[in-house]
Amino acid sequence: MNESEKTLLLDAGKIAGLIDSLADRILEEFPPDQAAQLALIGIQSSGVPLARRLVRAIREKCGAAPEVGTLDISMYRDDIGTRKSLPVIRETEIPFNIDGRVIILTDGVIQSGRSIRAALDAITGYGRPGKIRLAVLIDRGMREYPIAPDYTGMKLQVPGEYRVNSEWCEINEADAVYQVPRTAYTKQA
Amino acid sequence: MDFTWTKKDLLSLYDLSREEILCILNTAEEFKKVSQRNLKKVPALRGRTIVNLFVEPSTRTRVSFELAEQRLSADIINMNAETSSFRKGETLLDTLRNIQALQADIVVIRHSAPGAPNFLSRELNVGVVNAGDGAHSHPTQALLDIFTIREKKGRVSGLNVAIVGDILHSRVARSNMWGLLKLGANVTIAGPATLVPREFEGIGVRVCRDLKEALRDADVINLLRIQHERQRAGFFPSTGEYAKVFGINSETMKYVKPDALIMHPGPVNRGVELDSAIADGPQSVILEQVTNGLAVRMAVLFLVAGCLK
Amino acid sequence: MKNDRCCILKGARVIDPVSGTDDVRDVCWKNGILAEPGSISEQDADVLNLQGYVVCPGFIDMHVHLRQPGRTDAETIRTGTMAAAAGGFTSIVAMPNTNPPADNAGAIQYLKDYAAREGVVHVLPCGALSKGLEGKEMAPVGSLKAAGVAALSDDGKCIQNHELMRHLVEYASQFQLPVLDHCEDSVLASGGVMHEGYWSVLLGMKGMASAAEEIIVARNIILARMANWKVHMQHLSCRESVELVRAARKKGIPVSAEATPHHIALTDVEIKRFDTNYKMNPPLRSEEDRLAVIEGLRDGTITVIATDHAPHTATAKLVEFDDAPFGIIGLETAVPVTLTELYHKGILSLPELVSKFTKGPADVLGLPLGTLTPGRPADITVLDPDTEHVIDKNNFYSKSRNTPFDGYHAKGRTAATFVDGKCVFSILPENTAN
Repeated sequence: MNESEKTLLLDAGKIAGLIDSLADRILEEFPPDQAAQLALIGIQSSGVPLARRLVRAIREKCGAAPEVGTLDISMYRDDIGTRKSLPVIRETEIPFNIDGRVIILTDGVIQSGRSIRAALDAITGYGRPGKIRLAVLIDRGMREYPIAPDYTGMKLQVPGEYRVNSEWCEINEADAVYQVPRTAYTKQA
Repeated sequence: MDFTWTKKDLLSLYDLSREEILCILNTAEEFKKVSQRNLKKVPALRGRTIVNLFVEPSTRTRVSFELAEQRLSADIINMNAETSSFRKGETLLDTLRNIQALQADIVVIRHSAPGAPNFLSRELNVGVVNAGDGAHSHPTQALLDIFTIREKKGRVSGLNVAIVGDILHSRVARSNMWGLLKLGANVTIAGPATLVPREFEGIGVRVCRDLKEALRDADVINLLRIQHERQRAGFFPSTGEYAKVFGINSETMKYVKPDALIMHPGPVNRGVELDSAIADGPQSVILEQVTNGLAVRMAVLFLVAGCLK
Repeated sequence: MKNDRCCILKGARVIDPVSGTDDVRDVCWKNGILAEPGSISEQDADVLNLQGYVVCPGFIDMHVHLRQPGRTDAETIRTGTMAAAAGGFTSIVAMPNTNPPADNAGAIQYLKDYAAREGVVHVLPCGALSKGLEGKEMAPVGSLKAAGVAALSDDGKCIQNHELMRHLVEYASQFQLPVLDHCEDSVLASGGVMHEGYWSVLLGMKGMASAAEEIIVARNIILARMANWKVHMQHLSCRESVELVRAARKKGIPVSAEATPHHIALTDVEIKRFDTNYKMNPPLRSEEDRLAVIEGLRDGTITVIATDHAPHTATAKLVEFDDAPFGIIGLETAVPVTLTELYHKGILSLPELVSKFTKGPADVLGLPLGTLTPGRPADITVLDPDTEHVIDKNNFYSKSRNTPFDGYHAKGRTAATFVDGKCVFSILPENTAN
């Protein structure tokens, strides 16, 4: 991908504010006494840093420390073999029993809803949660499946020919949200 | 940068780069976790059809592949030499063309002829996974051996691996050699001179005529099944003599490092290449190899399926 | 061409290893018989200007499988001789391992009748050494001689019974028939599909030890010495075999040997792709062996290049490597491959190379072929020695396509072939004729 084609939409400061308000919204539904029983599971890869940041924010706000896990959905996608290239399988790490638990799935950006569909499928491979909620940093619209986040950091109107990417300092250089023309990816492929 | 798998076939480890081998091992780690859950099935290959074509008899490899396919939610067709049309004089290629016409996606093939999977991959559009072809190659066995070594020792590079037994007729030995060398291990082979060709020195393997010397510094000892028909063909005098001279028993274990892994692709000839006490002892990882085989085969099928258009 | 009766080839480099000729001069013939240069007037003859070409005696391939009768789906006398013509061969020796085998006078008569009717080049029958090629009893050598065989061979098989072989060499000497042997100890080579060596070990394939050939070459040298009669080692492939033949010839033992273009050009490394078009017997061997064969050609130990043209249908070859039949076709690739590998690489001069296809085989067979001497039949091969081209198996006249040389970048080729003065193949440009 050509770095020069990226356009910054949100910087680190703006993202920190969104995470803070997401944590508040979660605590509204699950007050501190329940928050300790929450488990946040980040969808690989951009949902993972989001889950960890949200756990930190919740702990700072109320002292409760929800558990945190990671989920890779590659084995649950319905487009194996139709994509240009095979997704790299990343780590799934759910070091706790999810039966009956309240799970908050996290993802950086929601678009079609297909990843979330796969994630719901994947998560049930590990047990039978009591409730599942969905938290996303960005909802950029263009939904294809009847799936809506329970907690949304921000809705963005971005033309369809652009992809919206969330980047995190744990993975990339810094926290940022970019729009990138889809052509930048096809050129690379 | 993440490595992306791009091959529609797995034919031999000779064909793979270090990165491709590591990609399979890393992917297998995630599939191993799936096997440790209560719900051991994923929908990754839902709607895909896999044909298991076993032209040569096999139990454990076939079962391992079948279970891997079921856990990936693939549809499965099993064919073996007895039920297939080979007996009616149909060629392998014609059989496979018929399977291809049924829109099969992947063929897992076990065959006595070296290169049969290479031949099919050239002539067909389906993905081909080699489940053992003559003495040529058995890539998933070597991958599961290497996976087990890495899991137990934390690394492969720099380890001393001794492969002992009938190297000449062993696809397991050949695939292990290629894989281990590419990942930076030191490989020593040992066994009867008639069954341990010096030619392997040409690829950087140490050929050791003295078993004790081969065992002494080994971090991993991979024992091969000795087949009785080799005795009849005059490669060694008797299994009794083989056990005495080349078998691993309490006597030879005195030369083995206390933390060395004892591996065997199975089935074990107890009392010939390996004594029962050691096969079942604390250094043996033979059953873990079987468990890991499932994860490795799931990973291979998943990666190969992802490259079929 | 105006007629077949008189023809003059002008301006070409003429090479005749028998007379030692190598210069630019005319070659002419009348009624299919070579004539003295200048004895035919240009007004009465077809005249071809062949500047830049090389005119040689017609090439002889001592080792061809025509597959008729038995496997006419792979080759016939018609297609095999057309392939020979396209390859520059005017005479070919037809191996007896047809089905049924050519182990009796009737089978030889069948071959001669068919070849006379449908053949494009001369077909020299080779009779079997043993009945049914079974290596157990002598074939009727005297009857075969009377029927017109040029030599004896059990090619494809090798007589393992040394006593029978000893008697055959002795008996063949009485009929002046050279014994051509496919040198292979069948137990040592049993089950093998490729050369036993580095690559067979790496690939896990059953190897055929060089010893299997060397042991029989040594046996044959001993038997040739005992009978003082010609034993010719077919398709020599191993270093040690070449050394054995070299030493024997030095001692004056009447042995000779041939090499194939594929053993000159290729080695066992090719097998790693499992392409059955590289499966033949004797197998492609190591680089060391290949260089020894080339050295044998260079120093005169090996006096013959023969193709071992062995057609197989695509179906027969499109199987697992272990199950594929041995053999590749060679008639239409021998000249370009050997020009490229031996002449253009500076190993043999053009006269030396031509000799391997003419004088060499004629001497082994004891036939007055392979020369441009006036009075002999006008069998002529015209070479275009320097044109670069890529071999395309789809252009072959052979019924089969089992060649490892498809796509081979060659320098030099056959430009025209004349049998008894008649043009049977030509890619000469239109303007060569006046």
